[in-house]
Amino acid sequence: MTTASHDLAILRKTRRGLLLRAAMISLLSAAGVVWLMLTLSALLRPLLPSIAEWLNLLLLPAAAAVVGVVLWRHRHARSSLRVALWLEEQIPELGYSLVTLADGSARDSSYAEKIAQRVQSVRSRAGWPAALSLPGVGWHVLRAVAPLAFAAVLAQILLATGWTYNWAFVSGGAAVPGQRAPGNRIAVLQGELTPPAYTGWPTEVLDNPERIGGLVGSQVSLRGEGEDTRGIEARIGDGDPLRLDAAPQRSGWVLGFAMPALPSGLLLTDGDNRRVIVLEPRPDEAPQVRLTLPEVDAERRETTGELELAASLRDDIGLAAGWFEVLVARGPESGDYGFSEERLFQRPFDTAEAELRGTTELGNFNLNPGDQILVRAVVQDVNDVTGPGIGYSETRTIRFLRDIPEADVEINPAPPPIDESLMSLRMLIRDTERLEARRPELERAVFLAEVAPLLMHTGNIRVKVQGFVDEASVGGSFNVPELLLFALDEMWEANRQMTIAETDDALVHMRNAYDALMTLFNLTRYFLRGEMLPAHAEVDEVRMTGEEPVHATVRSQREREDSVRQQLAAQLAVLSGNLDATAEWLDEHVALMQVAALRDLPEAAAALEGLSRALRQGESLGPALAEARAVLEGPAQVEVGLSGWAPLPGRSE
Amino acid sequence: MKRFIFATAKYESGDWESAPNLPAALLDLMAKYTTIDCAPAGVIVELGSEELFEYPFVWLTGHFPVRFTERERANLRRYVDRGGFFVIDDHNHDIEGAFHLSVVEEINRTFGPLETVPNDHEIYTCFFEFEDGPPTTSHELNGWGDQLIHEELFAITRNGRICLLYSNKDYSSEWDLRPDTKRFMSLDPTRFGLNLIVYALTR
Repeated sequence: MTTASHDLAILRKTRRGLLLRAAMISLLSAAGVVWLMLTLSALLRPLLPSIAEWLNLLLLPAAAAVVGVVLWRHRHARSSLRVALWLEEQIPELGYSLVTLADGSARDSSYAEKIAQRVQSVRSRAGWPAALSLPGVGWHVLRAVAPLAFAAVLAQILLATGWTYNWAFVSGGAAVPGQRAPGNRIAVLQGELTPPAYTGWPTEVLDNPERIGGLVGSQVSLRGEGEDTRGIEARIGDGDPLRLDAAPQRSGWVLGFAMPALPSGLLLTDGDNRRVIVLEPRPDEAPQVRLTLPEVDAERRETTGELELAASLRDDIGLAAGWFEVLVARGPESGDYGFSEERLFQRPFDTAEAELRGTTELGNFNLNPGDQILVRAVVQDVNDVTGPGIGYSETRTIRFLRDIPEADVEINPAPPPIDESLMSLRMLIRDTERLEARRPELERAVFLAEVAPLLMHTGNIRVKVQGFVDEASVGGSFNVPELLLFALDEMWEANRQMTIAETDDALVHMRNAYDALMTLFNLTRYFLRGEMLPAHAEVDEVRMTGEEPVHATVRSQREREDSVRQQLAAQLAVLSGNLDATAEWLDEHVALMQVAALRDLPEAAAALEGLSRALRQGESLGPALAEARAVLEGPAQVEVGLSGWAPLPGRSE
Repeated sequence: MKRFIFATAKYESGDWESAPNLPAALLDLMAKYTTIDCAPAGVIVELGSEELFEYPFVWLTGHFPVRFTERERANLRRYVDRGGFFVIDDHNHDIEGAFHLSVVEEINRTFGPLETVPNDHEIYTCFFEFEDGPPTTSHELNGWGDQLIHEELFAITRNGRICLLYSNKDYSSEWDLRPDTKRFMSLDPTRFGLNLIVYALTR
C-alpha cells in the first residue's frame, strides 16, 4: 500500500468514527430528553396537570428534534472531503494537503505521494484529534449527554423523595419530616360515622375504611394526611366535588359529608392516585302498621252505631305518632260525588311498638245509604332527617247499602243478572217439552189443565217482547231491529198455538223466538231485564273505514338495554380479563361494581364484597371470581340433545 | 299474532266499572283505522290476579279513593316492570279529588314520583297527530271538575318507554260512548285512545 492510499484509508476510518459519534450522541440525547420530560411530567402532574399532559404529548417531537440537531452539528461527516476539511480546520499545519489528497485532484501518483508524505509528517508531529480515537469518541459522547443525564437523574431523585412536591405544595416551602410520600395523602384515612341524633346511636370509628355503611343522613367525617388539600379531590358518584378543610389542631385534612340515600362510590383522587370507598346507606325503614279492626271489608244497612278501630304499629327505630284516617265517599246514588277526610284518635308515641285503638259513632259522619267509609291506620316515625317515614295500613271499606234489591248483591259489581224473561222463555220451552212428552199418556182434561199456566206465561213473555219493540221504536220514530220483530211475531204465533193447546206447534215458534232473542242479545247487548251491558264494537263491519288523516311515525327499534345483572356480568368479564392490571384499577373496578350491585342487585353485593376482600388481602381471586360469576350469570345451562359438533348416532364417520 | 283484548282493571276499592262503554268506543276506532286483530268487547281483569299479565294494555279508572292491596300493588309493579302498558285516568277530572290524591299517593308508593310527559312525546304522534299534546275533553272545556284544562299527562317510564300513563283529563267520561253514538259527531273524540293502544303495542 502506498502512503497516499494509507492516508485515504485513515481518512475513511476517521469519517466512520465521526458518524458513530453522531449516532451515539443523537440516540443517547434523545433518550435523555425523553427521560427528563417523563420525570418532569410526573413531577408537575399534581400541580400543573395540563402542562404534564403537554409534556407527554411532546415526547416524540422533542426526541426527533434532538436527533435532528445533533445530526446537523455533525454534518461535516457527510463525505470524506468534508471530513478532510474538518481535519484541516482541527490541524492547520496540514496546509490543505489532506484536502488535496482527498478531492482526487492530485492525479499524478508521484505528486500524490509527496502530499501523502506531508500528511504523514504532520500526523506524526501533531497527531489526529483525540476525539477520533475510540476512547475519545466515548468521552465525547459522555460529555455531550452528561448534562441531560444529570438533569434527568436529579429530577428522578426529586420525584422519588418528594422534595419538589412538598416544596411546591407546602406553604412556606418547608418539607415536613416524616410525612408520607406525596400522592399518598388519601392512602390512610381515619374518621367517624355519626348516626342521626334521633336514633340515639353511638358514633362509630372508621379505620381506613374501604366500605362505609350507615343510616341515610348519618354524618361521615374522614381525615387524611398532608398539610394541604390542594390537589386532593373528593366526590360522591358524579356529584360536585366535596369540600376539604384543614384538620383542626392537627396536621392533615378533613372531609365531611352526609350519607347519601343511594349506594354510591366516594371517589378520592390525589394526582395519579385514586381510591374508591363504597358508601352503603341503610334507609330508615318506614314504620309498619296493621289494621286489626275492622278486620275485613263489610256492608251495613244501618248508618248509625259504633265503629271500633284498632291497629298495631311498629318501627325499626321509634314511633312518633299514629292515627286513623277515615275517608267518607258520598253520592254514588245521586252522581254528585263528594268526599271528606278525618283523622281520628291521633296520639304521640315514644316507643318502637304500640297499639292504637278507639271507638267512634257512625252518626258523626252524617252517612246516607249508598255512602261508603274507607278506614286505614297511619303511623309516623321519629326520623327528622330524611323523614318522617310514614306507614299506611291496608284500607278497609264499609259500604252502607241502599234500600234496593241490587244492594243485596256482593260488594263488587257482579255481571248483569241473568234475565228473568229470557230464563222464563227457556223454562217455558223446557216445561212445554216435558208436557209434550207426557201428552200421549195424559187425559185431555189433565193435559189442558197443565197447558193453562204455560199459556199464561207465554202471554207474559209476548207482552214483554212487545214492550221491547215499543221501547225500540219510541212511538214509531225509529226502526225496530228485525230480529226483535221476528221474535215478537213468533211469540204471537206461539201464544196462539198454546191457546188451542197445540204444544208441539207452539214449541217451534217458541224456539224461533228464543233463537232470535239470543242473537239479538249477542248482537246488540239487549238485556231483557232492561240493564245494558257495555257496548261492543262491530269490528268486522267497520274495519278500515276510518277517514281521518293518520300520522303514524316510523317505528325505530330501541337499543338493547342490558339489565343490571347483565351489565355487572359484563364488567366481571372485563375484570377477569385484566387481572394483571394495577391493584388500584382492580380495586376501583370492583368497588364501582359493588356500588351498582348495592343499588340495583343487592343479592350480588355479598359476592362482590368477597371479591373486594380477596383483592385487598392479596388472596387468590379464583374462588371469589367463581362465586361472583355464579351469582351474576346463574348456574351453567345444560342443553339436552346433541351438541353442534357431535356425530349423529350410528354414523360411522 | 295474538288477538288484542282491551282490559279494564278491577281493583278492590273504588268504582272500577265507571266507564263501561269505553272499551268498545276505542275498539271501534281501532277497527276503523288499523288491521290489528281485536276482540269486539273488552274484558275485566282483576288487578291482583295473574290474568293481568295476559293483557298488554290495561285501563283503570274510577271516582272513589283508590287503595291498592299489597297484592295489587305488587302485581302492578311487576306488570310495569315486565313491559305492560297501564293507563290510569281520573274520572273526576279534579286534582283535589279523592281519586287523584289517593291514586297519585299509590303510584308514589309503588313506583316513585310521576314524570311529566312532554307534549312533543311520540305518544302524541305515533298514530294520529296531536300537536298540542293531550287533546282536551269537553268536560275540561265546560269547566267541570276542577275547572282546569290539564296541559300534560304524567307517566312512569322504563328504559325510556311509558309503562304507566296517568291522566286527570277524564277521558273515561269523554270516551265512554257506544260506538253508534259516534255517528253524530263530526270528529271522533276517542282518537287519542288509539294512539295509546298503538304506542303500547309497538313501542
